[in-house]
Amino acid sequence: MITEKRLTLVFALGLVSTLTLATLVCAYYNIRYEEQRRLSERYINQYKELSEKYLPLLKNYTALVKKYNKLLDNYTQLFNEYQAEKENYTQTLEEYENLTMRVNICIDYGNGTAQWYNDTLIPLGYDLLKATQLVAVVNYTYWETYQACFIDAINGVWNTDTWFWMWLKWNTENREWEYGPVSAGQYILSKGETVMWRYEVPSW
Amino acid sequence: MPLGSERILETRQIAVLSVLSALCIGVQLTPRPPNVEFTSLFCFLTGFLFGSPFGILLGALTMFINGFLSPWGLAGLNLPFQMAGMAIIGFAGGVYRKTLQSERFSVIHFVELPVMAAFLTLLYNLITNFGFALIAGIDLIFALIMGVWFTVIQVVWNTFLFTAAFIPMVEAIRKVWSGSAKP
Repeated sequence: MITEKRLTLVFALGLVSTLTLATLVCAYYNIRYEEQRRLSERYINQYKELSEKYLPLLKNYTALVKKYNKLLDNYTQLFNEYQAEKENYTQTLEEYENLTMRVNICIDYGNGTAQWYNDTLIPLGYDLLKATQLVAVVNYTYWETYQACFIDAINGVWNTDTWFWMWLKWNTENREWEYGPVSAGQYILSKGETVMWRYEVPSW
Repeated sequence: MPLGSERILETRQIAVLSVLSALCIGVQLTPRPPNVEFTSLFCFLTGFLFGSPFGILLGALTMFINGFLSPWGLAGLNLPFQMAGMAIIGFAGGVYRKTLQSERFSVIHFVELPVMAAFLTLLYNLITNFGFALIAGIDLIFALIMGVWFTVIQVVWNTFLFTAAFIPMVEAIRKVWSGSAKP
């Protein structure tokens, strides 16, 4: 009888303990489940809102991509044209190079200021006067008697009673400047030549 | 029983009590997973072997020390509740012995002990959660629910520990007392 009572008591205690623990665990899961459910609902709503915003954005994006692709096509086309033009230009330039030459021109104003125009591209057979006119404003007078041009001014610096524009060429062998033997209009420049206009008081 | 043997017996009792107390406090203060503890077993055992007052005293004292030196930090205002909870477990050990009809353990005790362990651990958690709820100003049911995994861990652990260790420990201590363990 006593053993039965003990067993009943033990069973009751075990049942109470198990039920209490099970209830607590279930309650815990219920709370967590409710939390998750609320979160899920929130996320679903957010997802819907985002989807609604996403679709117009996607449309805009698609339109932008189309525009971009169109621009890219245009660009590619232009680039191809540019490349073709560049090739033509390079080809022309190479052909043109055969008809031109490069010379170095110096303009010395006699006051310590000297301007250099190195590698000036000029057509073959150009004389000094024409070459100078490519890099500076030149005023000159043609003398019928001498059949030659006389330089009056370069870049607004005019000859005076004592100061004149003289031209010189660089002698590569002697490595010195030499006065030009003829007038500028009569002197045909050669490839790579270096010449100078100098504003000075002549020695004569 | 001669006078001298009574004195030896008392000395052994004191020695066992001291060892149990030291083990109880030492293990309680050792870093370990949360709610995996030996204090319930030791307090129940002390109550069982030496009577409810000793069980109550050891339970309350251990939790008092634990309240200040625990690796999990200060117990704070929850300390009285922890002390009360563990004192009840120690008290239950003494009560349980009085209900035994024989000093010999049988199969029924292997059924009783896990149930007792589960119930007492649950009661301890109920008391400490009540204290926590009171201090934090939250609902007791809510505190119990949110701390349920700690409760589950402790209940499962103590159920296992009481089933596996209680009877062997009692038998071993009885041997020490009776002197049969002497060489």
